[in-house]
Amino acid sequence: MRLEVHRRLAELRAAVGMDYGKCVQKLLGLAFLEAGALRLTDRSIQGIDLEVTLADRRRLALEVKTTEAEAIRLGDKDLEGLEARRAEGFQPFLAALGPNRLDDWIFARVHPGELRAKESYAPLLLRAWRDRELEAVVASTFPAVVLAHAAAAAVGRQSALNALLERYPAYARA
Amino acid sequence: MKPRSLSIREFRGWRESGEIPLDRPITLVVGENGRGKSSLTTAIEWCLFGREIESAGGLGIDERADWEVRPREASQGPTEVSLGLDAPEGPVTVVRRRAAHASGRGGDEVEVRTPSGVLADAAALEWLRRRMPDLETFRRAHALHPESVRRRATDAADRAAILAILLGLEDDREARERWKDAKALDLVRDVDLRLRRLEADVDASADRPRRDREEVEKRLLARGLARGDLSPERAAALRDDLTARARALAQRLGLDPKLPPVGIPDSEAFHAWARAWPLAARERAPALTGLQARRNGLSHLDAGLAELAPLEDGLRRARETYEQAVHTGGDRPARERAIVEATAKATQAAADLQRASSLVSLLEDALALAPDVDERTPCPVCATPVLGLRARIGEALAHHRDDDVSRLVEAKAKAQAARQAAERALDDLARAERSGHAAREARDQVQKRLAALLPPDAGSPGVGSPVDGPTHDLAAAARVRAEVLRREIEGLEGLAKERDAALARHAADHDLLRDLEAWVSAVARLDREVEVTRCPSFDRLDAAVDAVAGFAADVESLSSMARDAQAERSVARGAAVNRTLGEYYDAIVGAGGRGLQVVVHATPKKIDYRLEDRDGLPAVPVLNQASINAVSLALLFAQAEERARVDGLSLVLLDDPAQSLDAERQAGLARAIERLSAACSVLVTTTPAPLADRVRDFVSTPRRLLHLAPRDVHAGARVERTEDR
Repeated sequence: MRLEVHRRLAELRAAVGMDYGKCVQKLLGLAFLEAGALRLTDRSIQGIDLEVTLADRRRLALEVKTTEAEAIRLGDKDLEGLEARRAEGFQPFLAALGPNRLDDWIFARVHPGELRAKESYAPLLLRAWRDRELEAVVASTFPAVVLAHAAAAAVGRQSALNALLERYPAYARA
Repeated sequence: MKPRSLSIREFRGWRESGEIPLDRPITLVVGENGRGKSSLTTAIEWCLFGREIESAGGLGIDERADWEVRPREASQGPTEVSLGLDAPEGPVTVVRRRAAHASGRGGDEVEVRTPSGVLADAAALEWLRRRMPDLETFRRAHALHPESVRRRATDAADRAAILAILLGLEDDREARERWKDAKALDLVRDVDLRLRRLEADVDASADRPRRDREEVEKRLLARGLARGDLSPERAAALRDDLTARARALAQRLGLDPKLPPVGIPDSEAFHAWARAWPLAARERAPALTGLQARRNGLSHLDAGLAELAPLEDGLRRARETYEQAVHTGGDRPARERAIVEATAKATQAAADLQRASSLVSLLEDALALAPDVDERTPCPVCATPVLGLRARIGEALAHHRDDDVSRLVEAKAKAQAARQAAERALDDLARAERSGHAAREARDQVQKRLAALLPPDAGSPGVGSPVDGPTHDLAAAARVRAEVLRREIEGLEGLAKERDAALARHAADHDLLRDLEAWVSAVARLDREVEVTRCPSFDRLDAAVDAVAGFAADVESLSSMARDAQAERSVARGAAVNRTLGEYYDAIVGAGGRGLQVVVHATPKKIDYRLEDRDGLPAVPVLNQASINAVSLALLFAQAEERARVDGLSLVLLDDPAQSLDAERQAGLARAIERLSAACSVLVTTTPAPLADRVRDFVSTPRRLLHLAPRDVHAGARVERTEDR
């Protein structure tokens, strides 16, 4: 991750505390929209975090995890939710972002039985299931989104980012 | 498959056993210590597993691995153990043979004699592999060496470990324990740690560019830029704004802004343009070039109009004075005529006076000449004698001098005065005329100047009479023109102000842009310094980390599957054991029907085994040696029965199982053996103890007692007598 982007995210984390995960989720949503996503459903309250229809019509269900610790822990509901989305035709992914500068978004494909609930996964380990193509899509827009909006998010938190998201016709909240 | 017989030759304490029948459900081998009991059970295990069991240890043979197979006093013949079995296909004999001088880890000869033929070596080993349990299974479900159990139990860390050993699950449990340290994940953590160190090292090396960035960042924030404005996109937008505003301003100023090429990221060219543009906009704007001329023109017009007004007044007053003079004193010809007339009158009066004066002078002369007598005196002129001439001359003189001359003097004075008055009137008129002319001339000159300031079609000043009309038109035109100029000047001054404001903003924004670009550049430089992902070899590192992650994930996945399998195996084994464990345990310890069951609790990091009674309460509160023996026996019996039921090997070897058991429990053990013998052939070795008595006298199952003779150095161990019950 570029140093400046990492710095902005660190500042955001320091500013919003517990809201950091949700803010990053919304920044990721903005990045998808900037990348030309045809539809983005933000499930901030319940269920899988994001549903995305990419420009190539791929439909993704994303469980977004950010961590300051060494490991990401998956819950039963996370995996059940992803499996439910798979049954609906979505490709389930675990989107993970670690706290270090060399960490970047990892989009790990979730296959039944491979990632397990109640187990901890180092973000690095998730590289084993990574989808580089999807990572490239996000990498093309996420840095600019962070540079442009992280400062606003640090002040206005989720609601500021919701206002930005709502400018996109492709955005929907569930 | 049950044991039928056993033959031992040159195996540990045995030299030549002959055929030992094992065809009863219970075979009880009784003998004092050192008579070959353990060697007998071990011979069976050696026959089935060979060197595998020699090196495994834990059999109660010297309590060590690599024990000696051959006795020191053995003959030259080979070591050989033959185990007869009743298999479903008929009688089968397994023979393992080792040459007397076999050395190293050389293989034994193995032979399996079946009804259909003799299998040797690899075929024989394959038969054993398929038909016999593996060593681990054999040791947990078919053989018990209490000394081994005791030693391993002593070494075990906790109760669960003891149970795992007894259930043959210690490897699983230890693997699960080892997984706490998760070596594959350690690998990932180690890579992660190294990457962070790399990150920290690289970051530390970029102190200077970081300071540069912070400095310029402070400036930008002090200028009121928000954090979110610090981005290349904002710089690009600012640059676009600058050019767009310059283009708009240039259009208003009638200038070509000479913008830098679009889409070419030539920062130098852009900044050169941005510096030059204000100069051009200030100095060469066509729209503003006429401003000063207009200001000058307006100034002259205003001055001319200001000058014209009093001149017009003066002219008007002169005109009124002249008209008044004409009205009162007539025009110039009349006045000139009056002068002529007054002059003529004055001349006449002067002439009259001259004549009168001459007459008076004559009269005075006459008077002087006339005699001063009243007689006739000749007229001095005509010499005619005139009576009273003197008087008469005196009278005439008086008359002329006193009356006529005075009158004529007065008349002359009046005439002269009249002439002078007429001349003054003419002079006055002339002055009025001159004054009017001067006023008109002055006005005309101003008018000409004004006219010169007006466009050609704005009218021309009147010529000639000061009362002609175009004068007003000109002044009006001048005022109109002045108003037009004023409006134009206002507009141009507005434009100039707008230009100045725009250029001030341009300058400020250009400064901001330069700082912002400096920030972008500093960030980029910092990124270059610290961004290891741009390093050509980073891709290889990235791929290597991916490979490590893939490997670790595979290991994690496999270990996860293994852990699942471990958990399933434990649960399955627990379930299998629990079918009969309680009954065997009740039989051995007389637990009063409380029963015993193994409860398995598996977590990702640990498998725990607990003993509970039938009601789910903790059982066997104290796991002392006797309890361990009792529990291990119950577990062995339960597993043996399950093995016999499932896999068909009906064989249990109990090597001195009564150790640490009191008489009551030995009686219980006899009951348990009786029950087990219903499913398995049981070979029990024991010293003459209550167990032997109980098996011999209180068990209803057919059984054979083999009493071993004291060991003879030459003959080795041997069966002294056989007792079938």
